[in-house]
Amino acid sequence: MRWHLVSPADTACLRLDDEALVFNPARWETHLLNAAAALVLDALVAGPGSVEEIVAAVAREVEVPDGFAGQVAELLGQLEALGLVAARA
Amino acid sequence: MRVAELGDAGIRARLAGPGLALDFGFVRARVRSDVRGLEAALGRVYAEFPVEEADGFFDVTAGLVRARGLRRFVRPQVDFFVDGELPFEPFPADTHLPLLEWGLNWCIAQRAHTHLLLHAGVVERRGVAVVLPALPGSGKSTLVAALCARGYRLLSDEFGVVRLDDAMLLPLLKPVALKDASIDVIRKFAPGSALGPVFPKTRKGDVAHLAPPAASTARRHEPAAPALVLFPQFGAGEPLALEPMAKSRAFAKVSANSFNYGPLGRRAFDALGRLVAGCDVYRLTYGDLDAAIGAIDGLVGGRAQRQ
Repeated sequence: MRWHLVSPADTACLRLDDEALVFNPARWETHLLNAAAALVLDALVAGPGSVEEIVAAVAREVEVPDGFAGQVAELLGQLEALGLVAARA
Repeated sequence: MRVAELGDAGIRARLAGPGLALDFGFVRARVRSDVRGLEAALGRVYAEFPVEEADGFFDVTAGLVRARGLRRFVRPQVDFFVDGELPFEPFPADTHLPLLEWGLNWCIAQRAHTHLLLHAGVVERRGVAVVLPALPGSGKSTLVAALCARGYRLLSDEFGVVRLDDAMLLPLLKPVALKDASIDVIRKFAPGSALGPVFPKTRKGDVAHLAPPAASTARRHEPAAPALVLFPQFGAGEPLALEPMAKSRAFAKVSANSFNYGPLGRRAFDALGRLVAGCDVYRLTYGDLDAAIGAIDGLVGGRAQRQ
């Protein structure tokens, strides 16, 4: 399964300190993402990817803990509920 | 000619006729009224505003009218009107100026969607504009009034007007509304302050308005560059504390407290992002105005040297 931004051209992301604010153009909502979520979003801004590819992208930026793939999967589910990302088989 | 020079009779004639034109900077309003006593209050709190003709375009045409029927004589009441409508319940006639000010602010918050309207005070010194978001219990208006008494330029007490294209701050210059204990605090802090009449026991407690200083009034069309966002928090007896704050958290707080962030969508996101990214952000806890102003002076001086 590969994850992608729902509106890659219009989703606005602003990095402030180590967190991020993201504007969802479909719902006109703004969300504050913590550092981990911000890195996941950065990976998806670069292009669609599987959980493993996203974990690898984040690991290139920061040291990731054991079991991080599970956290990423859970986070992607939360971002999906917000309408920011979606998955394709 | 200044509004104060019209005298009560001159102001009354305008209010009863073509209207008293008030140029707040970002917004122009035309005020009409048949309520006795309002002319004297307006003459004090808008004393330094220039007298202008009441024809042409105005963003808001509104005013006060005496209630009809029995309420004209028994416990008299007044209504706020705008565009022929009476959007609020009537107020006691002896709270005319607070009702007019709240009504005008309501009109601005409802209509001025060409710009992002933050719920914040804004002052400026040495080219450094300071945004003071109005969170409950913050003591924002008291601090704004005290800063003005110490020479800061007042841009606004209630609305931080952000230009969407470049995130510059525009003045929306209206009197500073002080409530309850703040009135005496400012009287003691700055005995020469141009305070208007005290309106006791309004729906928001005792209210008095501080007239914008003449120098601020003269510069009410001059934008200012945002450089500091300070979240003030007053606490009686609290020692001074100035703590850096995460910009992301500041964005979240300020956007949630804005009058029109939601309807403006992406344009508001971009403008506020630009504003916050370019500012230093602090939480300021204080119990003493002089100490708070000393800390703010230090921050402003530091930013002014870096600019």
